[in-house]
Amino acid sequence: MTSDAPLLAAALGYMATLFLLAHAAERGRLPTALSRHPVTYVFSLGIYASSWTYFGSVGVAEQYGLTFIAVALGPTLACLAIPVVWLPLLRLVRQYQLGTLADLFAFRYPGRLTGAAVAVFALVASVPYLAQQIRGVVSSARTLASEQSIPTLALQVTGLLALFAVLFGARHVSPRERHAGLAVAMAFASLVKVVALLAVGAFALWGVFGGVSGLVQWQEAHPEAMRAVFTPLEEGTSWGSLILLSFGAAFLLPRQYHVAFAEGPPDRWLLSAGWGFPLYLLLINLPILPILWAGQQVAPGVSADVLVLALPHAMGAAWLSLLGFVGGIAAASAMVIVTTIALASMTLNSLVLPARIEVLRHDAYARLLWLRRALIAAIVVAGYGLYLLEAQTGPLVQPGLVSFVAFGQFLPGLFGLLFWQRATRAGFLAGLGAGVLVWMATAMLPLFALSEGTPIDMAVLAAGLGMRSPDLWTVPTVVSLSINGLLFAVVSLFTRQSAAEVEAARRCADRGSAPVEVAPATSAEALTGRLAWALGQEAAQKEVERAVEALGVDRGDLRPAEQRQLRELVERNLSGLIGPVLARMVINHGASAGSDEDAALADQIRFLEERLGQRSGVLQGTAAQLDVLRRYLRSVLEGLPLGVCALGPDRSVILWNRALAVVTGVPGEDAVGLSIGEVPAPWGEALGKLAQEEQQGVDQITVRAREGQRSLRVHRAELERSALPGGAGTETAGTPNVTGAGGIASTAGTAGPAGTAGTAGTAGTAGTAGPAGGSGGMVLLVEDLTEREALQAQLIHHDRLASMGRLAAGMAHEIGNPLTGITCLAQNLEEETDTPDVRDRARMIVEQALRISAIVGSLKTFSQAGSAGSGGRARQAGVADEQRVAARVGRVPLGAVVDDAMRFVALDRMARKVTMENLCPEDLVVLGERRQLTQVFVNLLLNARDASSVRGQVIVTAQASGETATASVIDHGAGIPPDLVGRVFEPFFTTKAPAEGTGLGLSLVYSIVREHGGEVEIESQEGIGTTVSVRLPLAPPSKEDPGPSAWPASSSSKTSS
Amino acid sequence: MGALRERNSAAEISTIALGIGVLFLVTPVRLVWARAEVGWGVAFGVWLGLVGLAVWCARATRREMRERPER
Repeated sequence: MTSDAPLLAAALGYMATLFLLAHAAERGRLPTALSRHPVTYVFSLGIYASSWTYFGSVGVAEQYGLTFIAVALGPTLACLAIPVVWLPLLRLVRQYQLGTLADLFAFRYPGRLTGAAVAVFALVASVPYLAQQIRGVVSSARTLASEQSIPTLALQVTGLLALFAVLFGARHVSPRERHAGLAVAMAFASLVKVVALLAVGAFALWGVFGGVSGLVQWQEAHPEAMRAVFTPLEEGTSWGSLILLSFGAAFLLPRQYHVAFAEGPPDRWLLSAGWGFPLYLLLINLPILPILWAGQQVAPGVSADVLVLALPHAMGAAWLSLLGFVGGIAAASAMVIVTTIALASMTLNSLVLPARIEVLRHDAYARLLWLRRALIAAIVVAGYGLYLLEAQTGPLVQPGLVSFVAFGQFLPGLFGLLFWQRATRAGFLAGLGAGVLVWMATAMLPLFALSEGTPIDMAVLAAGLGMRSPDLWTVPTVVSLSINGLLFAVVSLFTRQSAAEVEAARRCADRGSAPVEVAPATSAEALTGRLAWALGQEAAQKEVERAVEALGVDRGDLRPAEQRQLRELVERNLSGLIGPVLARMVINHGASAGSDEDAALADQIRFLEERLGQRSGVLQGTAAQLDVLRRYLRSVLEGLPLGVCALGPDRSVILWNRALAVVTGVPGEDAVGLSIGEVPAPWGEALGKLAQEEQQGVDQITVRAREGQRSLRVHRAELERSALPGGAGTETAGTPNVTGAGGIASTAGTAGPAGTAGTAGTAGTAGTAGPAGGSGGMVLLVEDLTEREALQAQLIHHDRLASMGRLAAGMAHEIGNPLTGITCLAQNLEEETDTPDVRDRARMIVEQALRISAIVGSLKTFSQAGSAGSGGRARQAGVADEQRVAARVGRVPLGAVVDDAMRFVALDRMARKVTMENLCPEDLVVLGERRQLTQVFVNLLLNARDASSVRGQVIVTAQASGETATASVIDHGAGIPPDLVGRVFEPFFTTKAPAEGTGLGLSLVYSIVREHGGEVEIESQEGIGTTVSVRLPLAPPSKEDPGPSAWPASSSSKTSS
Repeated sequence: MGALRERNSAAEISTIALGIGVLFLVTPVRLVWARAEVGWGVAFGVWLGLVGLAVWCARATRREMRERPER
């Protein structure tokens, strides 16, 4: 026996190192490359190897031969299943913030009972295991030191473990947040124990056997030792059942679940652990047999459970004994620390909070932390208390095996969670309950009554199962798991899943939310109110703000889709804090079921679209084919030249295609998710009114948009409710779930005249009433008629001008002949009569006839020009006229033409006195017929003059642009009323008094300019003035011209009055 | 509609590896290596082989994650 002082110092020194490392990692004083390296994660998974492996494996090897490696081969097999078991679990845990095993099962088999059952069972199964670790430390210390100091050592180590777990295992309010200090400390512990065990193994090999050859010689000399190692494997039952148990324990033990999943490692770390963890287990198991054999040589009669220490101690290697002791402390402490942290979170979320959630209403975060810390301390104390009771006797591995069998009971439930969507909560609880009862009878009770004989005769049970040599774990494993699995399957098959179970099953199978179960949208305020009920106002606001920030949206501008995301995110975050069951309960507190069912349905469509869009690359099989179809139909909708807007039952926008974005100027991403009435003005109001109609139909509306007035024809079609997720109806071939208003083509012709701006008038033929089972929403098909209507108006105008031209030509012809006769007769009378009175009257007749002749002349001119419009003969005549004009066309200086026109106008001395100013560039030359162009400007100037007040001003400007020149005649006169502007080019239309104008001036201007290939536009505002713009083709620069760039900005003005 | 896959998925490789592992560890095939005549070191050799299978699975999963990033 050595002094106990070095042991105490070594234990305390190790614990101090652990504290320092954890503290440094938490404070960021360790390089991130080290604290966040996959190797650190692999080593932290090494906490799987507890005192059992460290000390007890030698004992198992002695009793069961090579079976001891089955405890590590199970996790090795489990690591082969990383892509199908660990990775889906990790993603599930990460996505839904499932911090503990109880949270995981309560998520898949929803209900408080599930979480509570798992938590209680985990506690009952783990506390003896914790006691075993303390016992392991004490046993090892007893091997090396005097008895007196041991109780103190056990108490001190336990106290330090509790302190460490409290300080570094409950630093963050959510157990899902990574504890860097804890991870580094656990990795360090794993490193220490593997180094210590390898050192003892090396000592056994070279110190006792003198090397590999010595060991081989010893084996040859002791064939019975080799047979003892391999014989248990031949029977196989113990071996197989232990592999099965350890397969599950690799990720189902609370400490493994916590490190592997709850601490939130990235996927790639898990992949590294896939081979790193088995390699670690191999290394730590490699020295076990040499230690056993060397121990049997050097220290016969010593319990194999302590040979790791007894061997070097017997050989006088005190330093190695001390290292071995520190390795044992490392193995025990790591297991205790992480297990208590995991159990504390489990107990808090599944037992304490469901009973007293109201304790969180004041200072929720601090209370959560302190509750967790108190539970950690309580669980460590419970383990220590059980150790003190000395209730456990027998091999060191016994409590560990009992614990393994216990956590093996979760294997059927885990299988259901990952692979069997049909599994029900009732099945899980029935199977688990039966398994626990069997476990209690066959494993737990024997653990505490080993010295007094077991209540169940294991030998009889083993014989019944066909086993030759009963061990400590096979019977409990085989019986409990068989009954558990059978009940789980049978009860699941004969019970019905609740909606929550169906939803949870889908999520666990990574199929996303069921369409009918997507969370309904909830406003941020409503969420805060619900959370405040459980967490208090301050924490509720913080949670909602955190989620809003994570979503990157403005709290005041949350659309229904974003509200749904917010709700889901808050629920997930809460799940990390208080578990999934309580999180859902809190989030649904006070919510009236089905109140916003319609909104939820619309959300679901968007959610599915969004989710499929994200995952389209990873779909396979039928899902991939359906996705191809979905994307094709989506592209058809997007590419339609008609605007398409799909609305949900709540009239929120689900689809807003590209054409509609072009028509409205509102991008799809700005519109989708909004209620149709909330779409930016004026479209929201205009389309919203139509969407309120319940009937199918066609409407023609006029909308005053920022860029001008737009004329639209909107087809409404109601969707059947069965078209939506969860709809009961099925679609049959050829009967799509949309009932239109008879199709676009058939209804297009029935549209009536445009309504007034901003109003909707039902103009087309209303279809039949909505389909049975509506409303599942609505489709609005938007045709932009603006350009078509403008063209139609132009055509109508041209036709009207053409017909008037023909009428004028006919009238001129009919009037001309008799007028010639009248004029001739009047002139004859004037010459032949001697009576002055008659002569005067005859002259008056001639004058009036000449006036009529002038009017007829104008009519003829108009008819020749105005026929250049549209339609058959008129078009042919127009072509002839254009040819005629073309023959006389030449280069005409615009400024000179305007000057001529101003001079003509100024000849009328009786007319109103106005100032006329010609600002046309002198060198601006157009192509045209000079006389006709002069006529154009004479007419325009006369109108401008007549419209202006006395001493008013008329300005003519001109400028070149591209291949045209635009001359503008600007007056500041009375202006033209808006409703008359469109008619001023019509023949015989005038705003002047009847005796003052014929109404042919502007129509003549129009005709002449059109003949020249130009255009006339008029802009007028009442009381401000009128601008008439004439666009004419610019003459190409001649050799003499200096070119447009040399033209002056404005010519010298000419004033006439 | 979909193109033929060039490689097995990580899940398939994992299932194959798990099958091989179970074959060597749990079925009577284990008696080939779990015999006193072949020595106890062979057991660790088999174990190392399983680690090799685990590396294969990890590589396949890593490649799949690179090619089809899920999140």
